[in-house]
Formats: sequence, C-alpha cells, structure tokens
Amino acid sequence: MITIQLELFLGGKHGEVSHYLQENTALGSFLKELGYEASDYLAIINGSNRLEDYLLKDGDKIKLFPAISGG
Amino acid sequence: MEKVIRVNVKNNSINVEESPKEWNLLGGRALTSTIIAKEVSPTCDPLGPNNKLVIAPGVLAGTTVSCVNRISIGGKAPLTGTIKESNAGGTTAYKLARLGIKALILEGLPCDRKKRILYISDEKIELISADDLEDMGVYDTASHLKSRFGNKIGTIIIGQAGERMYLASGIANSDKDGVPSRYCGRGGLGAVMGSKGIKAIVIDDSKGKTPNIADEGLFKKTRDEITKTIINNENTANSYTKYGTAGLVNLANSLGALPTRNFSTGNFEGADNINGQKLYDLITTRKGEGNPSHACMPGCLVRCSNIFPDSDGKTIVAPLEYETIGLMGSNCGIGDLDIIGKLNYMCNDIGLDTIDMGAAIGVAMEGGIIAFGDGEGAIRLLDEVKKDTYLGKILGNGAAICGKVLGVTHVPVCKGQAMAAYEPRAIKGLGVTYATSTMGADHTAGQTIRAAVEHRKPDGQVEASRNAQISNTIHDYIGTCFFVGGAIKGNMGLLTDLITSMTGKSCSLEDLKKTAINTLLTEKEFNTKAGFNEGDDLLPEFFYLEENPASKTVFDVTAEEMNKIFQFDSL
Repeated sequence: MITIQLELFLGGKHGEVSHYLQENTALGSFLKELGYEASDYLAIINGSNRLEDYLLKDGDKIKLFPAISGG
Repeated sequence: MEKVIRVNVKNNSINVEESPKEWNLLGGRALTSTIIAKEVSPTCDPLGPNNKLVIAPGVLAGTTVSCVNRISIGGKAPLTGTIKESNAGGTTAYKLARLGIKALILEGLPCDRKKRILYISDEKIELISADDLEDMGVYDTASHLKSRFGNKIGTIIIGQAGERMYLASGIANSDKDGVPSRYCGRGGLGAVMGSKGIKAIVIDDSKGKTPNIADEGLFKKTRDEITKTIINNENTANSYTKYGTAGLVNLANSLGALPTRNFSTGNFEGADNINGQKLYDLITTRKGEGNPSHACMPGCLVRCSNIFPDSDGKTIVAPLEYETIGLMGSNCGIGDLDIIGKLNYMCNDIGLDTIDMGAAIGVAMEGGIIAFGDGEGAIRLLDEVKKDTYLGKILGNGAAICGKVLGVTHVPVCKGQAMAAYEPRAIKGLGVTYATSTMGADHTAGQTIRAAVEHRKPDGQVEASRNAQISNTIHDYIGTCFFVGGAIKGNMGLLTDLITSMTGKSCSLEDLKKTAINTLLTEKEFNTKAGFNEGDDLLPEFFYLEENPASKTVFDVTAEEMNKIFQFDSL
C-alpha cells in the first residue's frame, strides 16, 4: 500500500487529503474513482504535470487544478 | 453579414461593397489574414500608406449565444513586421454584425494630421473631425463619445499611445457596459490606426438586427445544448466564473511557469498575494462597484471577467486578468494587486498592451532603471509614458526596443513581441508556439497548457503546439472565446452545427480545420515574403542556455523539430 496526498485547487473546493492506494495505481484511474475526468484537470506532482498513465508512488503529493488558460 | 466597408483616409472616401462570394464562409482571423495577404504588400511600411487595418467579426457574431462574439483586427504589425491578428471580446463584433458588416477596411494615409472619428450606423457612415479628442486618454474618449452619440454605442478607440504610434499600442473595444477595456492588444496595431488618423470608431447598432439564421430550429437546439454544457462544466460554471483567469496564477506557479523578475525564474514568492483566491477575496470583501463574475460579451454565461475595486469600493480597473497579473505583477516582482490594478488601468487609458508593457518594465528593472518589486516606481514609469518623455517613449515601444536601448540581453520576445505569462522552459509547448507562430510570441495563437503532454519535457511539444495552433485559429476565425472550447471539449459538433444553422451550408470539423490551416499557411507565406525565415523561429538564446530554477529545465525542443510545425499533411 502507498500513501499519497491530494490537494484540490478547484473553484468550489479546497483542502489536502491523504489517500491509501494499491501500489502501481495509475493517476487516471485514481482520479476517475474520485469522479474527476483526467483530461479536465492538470495534476501536478512534485512540480511536474503528470498524465493518466503515470504510476503513483508512495509520498507523491498531487495538486489538482482545473485545466484553464489565461487571457 | 454581407457588407464590406472601405474607408480611404487619404481622400476621405467611404465605399460600401458587397462581400465577394469567396469570403462567404470566412470571418475573424481567416478573413483579416486573407484580405491582408491579398491587398497588402508584405514588404510595406506598417505605418505607411500601403498597410491596411482590417476589422472583422467572427463568423458567429451578432447572435447572443454565449461566447461567440469575438472580434479580430488585422494588418501588418509595426511591432513584429509580421502579419498580425489581434483578438478581443466585448461588444464591437456583435454590433458590427447586427449592421450586416462583415469587414471594415481602413486604407491609405491622411494628408493632414487631424484626428477623425469613423461613425457607423444603419443609416450612414461618415468621417467626423475629432481634434478635440487629440491626445485624450481612452476612458475620457469613451465618455465623450457616449455623451455625444448615446450610451448604447460600441466603440473602438486608441489612446495617446496609438496616436504617437508607439509599437506597444493596442486598440480598445467596448464591453457590454460601454467600458473601453477589451483590448486587441498585441503587435502595435494601435499605431496603425493612429497612422491613419482615426482616433475612434463609433458603432450605433440601434437600428441593427440579428443576422439571418438559415435553420432556426437547429440553431435554437444547438444554442440550448451549448448553454447546458457551459453551466454543467466545472471550469466554465465554477472556476472561471468565480476566479476568472486569475485562477491560473496558482497553476502556473506550481508548474514553475509564472514569469518572475524578467523571466529569470518561474516561481514567485508573492504568488499567494496575487492569485485568484486573493483577487476574489478582495473583490467580495470590498464590495461597492466590485464584481468577481462579469460578462464582457452579450449573452456570456461564463462571466470570467471582473471589476476590481479599491478599499472604498471604487473601481480600480475592469477587468484584471491573468496575463496582466503575470507580466505586470510577478514578472516585475510586484506582489500587490492594488498596484497591478493601477498599472493595468494606466495602460488601458494610455492605450497600451499590458503584456508588452509588463515585459518592458521588467526589462527596465533588469536594466536598473528601478528595482524589481518597486510598484510605485512602475507607476512613475507609466506616468513617463503618458507624458511622452524620452524614457516614456522607450518603454512605450515595448520590451524589445527597451532591451536594445538599455543594454539588457535577457529580453523575453519572439519576432519582437513579448511573451505572455507562461515561462517557456516550464511549458515547452508554449515555447514552441512562441517561436513558431506567425504572430510572434503569442499564447492565444497556440495554447498548450491543456494538452496531454508533460510540460517540462521536450517530447510531443511540436505536435501539441501544432494542434493548439490549429484549434486556436479555428476559434479566432469563428469568433468564439477559447473558454467555450473548455466546456464543449471534444464536442466541436456543437460549433459546426451552429455555423451550419446560421449559414445554411453544411459545416464540419474538417472544414474548420481546413480553413484554419489555410489561414496559417497564408500567414506563413506573407511572413516569408516579408523577410522571415527559420532563423526567426527560435526563442531568445538565454532560454536554451540558462535553466529556469523553478522547473530546473532549459528549453530544448530542437529547431529541426520546430521547423516541421507547419507540416499538416498527416491531418
């Protein structure tokens, strides 16, 4: 089992929560379980944005942002 | 829309022509670039008699479907020397479309130095003497025009910057409250309008009407579907509405992509003081005229714009957007939204592009004119620009010129135009866009932040930029705001159905892509004839040699790969 932190930076929600997952859980499946479609979001883990197929590691801290752009 | 208005400022003639058939399915950027490529010599002087300024609503303009009323202004850009399309929201596309105007073309150079207003209504189009508006700021100009012509007019205005032909001058469009703050900011097109002696364009659409819709049933059905997707999407119903584009500060900062102290790094220690949450908190606690969710275009449901008030509730500026928070905030080491808001207002009033001005001030700070973080100093610099002092002239001509004069070598520009608020070493796809776009360094020409690539790696960035350049060009010509793209995502059928129902001619996603690709190739050809080659499709050297400490990366997408960007054959 691994422990990761998820911090949400979404319009209506805040907060950092710990999650306990099986080893080799893919980012995409993890987010989907929580109801987030990976392509709608940017998941930044330790400074880099990671894609759906990224395998989560123990201690990863995910910052989840809506995939918006600026003007 | 069937009318093309040609205004020749040399002999003050105004001609109303019927739009040629081959332009039927074009609008916005596709139309401006088609006209410029056809009628303007690529080697002309952008401030001379042979350049033209083309103003064209997008294909969908004139209806009140959310997010479809953007305007394009095109020409040969004085700042970059390339072809240029500069895009904005507001009400001017809507109003021109309601008057049946497909394109407005300003030609020639005046024989005198007088200022004029171009007045357009259903009944007449005329040039009116406007010497009383000479050297007037944009906001006062808008007030004067509303007093004279009524509160419901649309306005397209240049400030002192455009009149003086500063290269960082933009063109201000009115929003739905008549506030002149929706900027066609990039490339110095304000100077082109200034060279032609036109201070303002007034659009009175009180006798206008909604454009003809060929299939009302399909149109209504599609409009309702779009409305539903917008209000059900997390981003467009929530993030954008509440935080606006400022919501991007945290994201960019977390990616190490928030330009800080003249693009020396991508992480700003003051980010929490200038992010979306801070802006939202200030607006909602100060109240008064403030509003965190404001629409710039008629019918917009997203309402990403805002009105930012001071502690007495009086408006500092509307809107305060991410790009300005980046370039005039973190890029200048300034972590105070009140200062950034004031700088934004001053730029809007003088008639300047906040991106190039923020970059210019950052360069000036690097050059030791004032210190990084000196907000009051930045305000004094903009005061110099307003007063047209020698330092003011240097700054008002943008970051590239500023760097050359002050001997600063770290200047974040491509083809002379300043980069937007995304550090290219941390979001490499945007680095590719900055380098290869026909527009110069331009984020709206090919925004890759949503692409399924790891932004710090060079892999897949050319493809991401290519796809983004195509999809952004689609939005630029059909007149949609990018943010609707976020809501409808893959379901572009909603936009093609809207076009099909308006024009009566079947429109597919392939058609949209084809027009976008043709537009890009037309622009590329113009630039080649203007003298640009592969050597101009690069980032400034320091991005390749020096690491962004926040992302720990240099820009390493090869020139060889980037030169393939316009190979569209596989599509």
